Amino acid sequence: MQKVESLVGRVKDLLRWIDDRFNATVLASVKFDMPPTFSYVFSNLGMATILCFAIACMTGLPLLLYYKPSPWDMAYDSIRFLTENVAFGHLLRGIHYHASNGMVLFSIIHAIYVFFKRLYKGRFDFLWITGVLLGVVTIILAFTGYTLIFNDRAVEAQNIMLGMAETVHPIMKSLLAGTGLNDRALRLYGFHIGIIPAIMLVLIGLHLPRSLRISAPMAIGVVGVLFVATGIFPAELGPKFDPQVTPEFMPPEWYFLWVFALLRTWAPVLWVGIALPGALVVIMMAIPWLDRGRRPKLTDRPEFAVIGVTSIVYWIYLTFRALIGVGPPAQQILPAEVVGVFLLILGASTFVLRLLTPWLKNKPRAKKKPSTGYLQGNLPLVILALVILAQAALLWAFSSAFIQGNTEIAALSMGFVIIGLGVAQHVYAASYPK
Amino acid sequence: MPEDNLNEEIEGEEESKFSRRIFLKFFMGVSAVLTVVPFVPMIQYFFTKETPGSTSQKLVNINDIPPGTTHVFFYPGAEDKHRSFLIHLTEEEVAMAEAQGKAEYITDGFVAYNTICSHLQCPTELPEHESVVCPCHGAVFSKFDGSVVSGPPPRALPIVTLELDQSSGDIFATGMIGNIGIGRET
Ligand code: FES
Repeated sequence: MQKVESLVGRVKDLLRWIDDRFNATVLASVKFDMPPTFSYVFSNLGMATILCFAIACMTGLPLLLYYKPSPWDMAYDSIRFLTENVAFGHLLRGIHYHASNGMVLFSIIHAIYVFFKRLYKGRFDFLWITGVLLGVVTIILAFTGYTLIFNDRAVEAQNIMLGMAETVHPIMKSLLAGTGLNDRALRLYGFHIGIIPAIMLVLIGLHLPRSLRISAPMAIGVVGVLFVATGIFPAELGPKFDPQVTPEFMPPEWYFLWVFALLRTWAPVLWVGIALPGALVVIMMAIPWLDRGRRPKLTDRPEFAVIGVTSIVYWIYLTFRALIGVGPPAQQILPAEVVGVFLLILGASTFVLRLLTPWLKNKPRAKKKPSTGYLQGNLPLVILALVILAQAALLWAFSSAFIQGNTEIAALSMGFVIIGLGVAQHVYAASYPK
Repeated sequence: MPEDNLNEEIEGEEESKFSRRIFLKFFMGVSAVLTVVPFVPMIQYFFTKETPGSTSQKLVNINDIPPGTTHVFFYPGAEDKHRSFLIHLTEEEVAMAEAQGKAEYITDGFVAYNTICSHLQCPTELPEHESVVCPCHGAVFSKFDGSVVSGPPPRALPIVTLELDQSSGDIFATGMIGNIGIGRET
């Protein structure tokens, strides 16, 4: 008995020593604060974006062990090998892909939330600027990622990108692609795995507040959702690019569809492909100074509400419109339609918001639910037991799917196991006395 | 004694709360462990299985490799570790191999083996006289079946099994006995 006690004492001493020395390092100055409560979803979106970035890094690094950055066959074949012959290669690629999708999606909703809540005023104007820049860099990062596969879609995307770069200035093209195919493959790779993530890290450093609040159940939930997404939409491989064959046309990733729709009006590339997105970025960065009002409520600054709503609805319209009539041959989208629909949406949102204003003004403030302590007695125990049972069953499904080589089901069940832990954490937090 | 009763009650309540907390913690721990479990087999990602050398590959036509010559080929892949010799033995050599009891893998006067030394994986020299020599630490293998004659390597060179298409005269590699860089048990 005494021996055991002295052993425990020694382990404690060791832990104390590690803790002490760790506190002397720079890492200790980064404070992560994990609230044990379930916090408001929208205030966690920035955290979710960063989390997706971290997951993309963690899954991207192992991918480096198999990817061969060289044009056509070698790159494509290495990814095919990774997908088909390497254990969990398919899963890792899928998570990497969906982490990038998550970054784009969460950052968009995060920006919308910040816009409508008017959280860009005051000291936060700088964070808003770095946030907009982060959004741009995120999209470039995701884009360079899918050009690396060297399937039909990737080469198509490369050509469009280089075409746009050349419209700006030929020197842009040689910056992005060097001279020749080997250069192109190596540069896209270097940008994707090194240069852009480094820029991103600096911007993240300029965007995060000093102390981070991470909601553990939310974070675990996001990880789980990425696994589930991988199970439902596995990362595509697509046909290998063959210069002899005209590739079948494929629309770009969802976050580029709006530009794609505008390009299909046959307007000059320089305008809709470069000048317009560029102008939008500049305008977005200027919002904290364009918005001079003092009153924070949305109803007190109707023009901003209208701009916000119009942009979102118009963006959704363009995104879906881009997928209609892609052909082949692709039909032109009439410029009159694009402009007309814009004016229509602008008018409609003005009208609707005006109608809603009195109601919004008088809307009773929603009472905040107590976020802790609403699970008392034996209820949390029962729920946790059920969660554990479900997790065990899912693990069984995972192992049998894994043995059969069914990566989709394996990813799906793994995702739900992880989500289970998120739920368990939440229940645990909610079981504290009020 | 009402006071005592009260005390007991409070203590009892605290006790049950205490054990409830412990149970909750325990369940959380189980849930966390269950979540970690599926990540464990992921370690396999870093280890890929060697592609088994069972695919058939045409090496050379019999007319292009006269007796007494050696053809260098790569099998089953095209990497440097796949470097192998296809040797067309003369009739005297076949007789010699039979006399030494090393003719087991000779088909129609041909023998083939991978040439990555089973000692520390150096590529060997081309065959000379009766032997194949490794330049690194002086291993000597038999030219007839790749078995160790002298030197440090623990095992014989892996044999590439052959098939001769009698009508066309094409020689095919069909498989491998033993493992590249590790050798073949004799
Ligand atoms: S590697 Fe061939 S003898 Fe050592």
